[in-house]
Amino acid sequence: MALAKKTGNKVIIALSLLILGVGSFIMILPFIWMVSTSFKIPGAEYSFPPEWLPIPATIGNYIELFSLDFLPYGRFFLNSIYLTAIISAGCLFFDSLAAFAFAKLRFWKRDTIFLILLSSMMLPVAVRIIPLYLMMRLLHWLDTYLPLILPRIFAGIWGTFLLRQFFLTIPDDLLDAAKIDGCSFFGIYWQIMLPLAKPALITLAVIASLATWNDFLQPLVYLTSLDKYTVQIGLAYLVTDYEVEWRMFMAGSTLAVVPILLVYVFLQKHFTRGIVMSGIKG
Amino acid sequence: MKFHHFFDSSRSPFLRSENINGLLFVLPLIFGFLAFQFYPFLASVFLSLTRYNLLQPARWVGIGNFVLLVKDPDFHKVLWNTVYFTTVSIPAGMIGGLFLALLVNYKLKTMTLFRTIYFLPMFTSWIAAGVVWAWLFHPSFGLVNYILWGLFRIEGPEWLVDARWAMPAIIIVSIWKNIGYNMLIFLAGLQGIPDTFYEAAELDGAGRIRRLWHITIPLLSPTTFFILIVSVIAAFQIFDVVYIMTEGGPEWSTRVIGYHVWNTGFRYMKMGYASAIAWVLFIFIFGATLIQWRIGKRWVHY
Repeated sequence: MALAKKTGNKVIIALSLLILGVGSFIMILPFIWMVSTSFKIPGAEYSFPPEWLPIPATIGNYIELFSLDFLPYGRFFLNSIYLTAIISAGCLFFDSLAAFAFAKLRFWKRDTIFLILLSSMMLPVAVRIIPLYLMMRLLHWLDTYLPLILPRIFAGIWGTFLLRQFFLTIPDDLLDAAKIDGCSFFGIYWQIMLPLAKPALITLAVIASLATWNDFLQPLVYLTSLDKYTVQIGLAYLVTDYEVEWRMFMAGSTLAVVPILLVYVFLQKHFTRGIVMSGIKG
Repeated sequence: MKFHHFFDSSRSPFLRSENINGLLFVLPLIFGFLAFQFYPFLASVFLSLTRYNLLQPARWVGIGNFVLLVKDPDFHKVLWNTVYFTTVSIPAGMIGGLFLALLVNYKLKTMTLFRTIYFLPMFTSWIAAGVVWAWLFHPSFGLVNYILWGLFRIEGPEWLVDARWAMPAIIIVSIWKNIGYNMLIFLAGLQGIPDTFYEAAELDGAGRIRRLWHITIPLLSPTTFFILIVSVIAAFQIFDVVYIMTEGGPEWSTRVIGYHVWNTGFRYMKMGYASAIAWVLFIFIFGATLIQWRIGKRWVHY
């Protein structure tokens, strides 16, 4: 009986591995094809039957991409990195400060305020984007980074939610001890809470960076000058407005994807935990 | 009202300081909420009742925009496309995600590798994913049709340039992109089911299928419910991938409501009309969520 069950398990595991193997090949195929095409020499991407490996390989597509005279492709990366850094840093500070207060301090209407903020997460971007655009236009902030940075930093509600969940798990004794020692509330936050929250903060930084780097609709709506474009709208512009070869598009896509995937491979736990804890969808 | 605490000098200065500090710490967030969430929300209600093209001042039309929408056959097409996308991509993505989560839920080293791979698309931008899939779906040089022919001798359709096949192509991309998310959340749910349930069932002689049907699926129902709600909200708003792969075409076959809002507002500068469309979207999302809560009470076991 026990033996039969064991072999049964083995068969099931083998079968699972087989299905997962085939599935993972399908999942990874677009990445393989993207990278492979991006290294192909002119004409090779249209060969039939398709060649899996780019032989001979060339980095010419990447060089060409960065030397396009109508599109400052390198600049897009600097812009995206700049935005990602500022927004992540801002989210870390303001979200954690608010999360600390919501989790650990008693103040006027705390839970009501939190619920109202939380409920606004249901509001689709589509409803907000038009009034926001008109507001930014009125403020003369169109074609600047302010409309991208400020709402993300000051209305980072899911980040606050995520960190609040973490702060709730920290025992109150620690706080009380610090209060008795005469530590200020900001001191408690800065010197006790933040160091403890390091893993949660990394998670938040990772998810905020991801959201900023991959954001499309907002930069598309607010930015008009080419030298302010981010990687995503730069890539979209190249693809929709220019008759360029597919191997160039693939080089552009590879560059747009690789930074995030590299970080993902190293900080995988933080990526997945951020998604599970906040429930947000990429 | 506890607000008098502010002015109540008899209260401990310590509690008062905690009150003030707490409010101070959440102030930036409240400001952000008012400026970037609440104000746009109110302004959007107002805008949807006007006609406004940025050049002339907004003109009040009452519910005129909504009356136009109800009669607009193009808008009906957009709604139908959105429902088509949602009702096909979500069940497929959820069943696939659950299936994968069950398969990968073994404590084996190989499984970690599989998880890494299945989660990859989730972190890829819709734009880059859309560009790559457009290349894969290329009618003559695309890998998809090559594989279809090579393995199954099926003559593949022209995908993104064929009005019948463009939407299925978008749905395939979105399943590829979302299946990792579903799998991840289902995995978290699976790991929350105590082993004792399975041990008891095994003692009772329940087989694998019965355990799946009578333990796993019912106990996972809160997770399933959560994924369903989040997925519906996301699916109704799909935009990036349509923008990059088809721009709503061919023949409006992939023009979904998220894309329609953007196109009407920012291409045709019909800010009032676009706001009305956005409100229909919001009402859809709100209604769908409400209905799911109602029905959810019947099938979700907490």
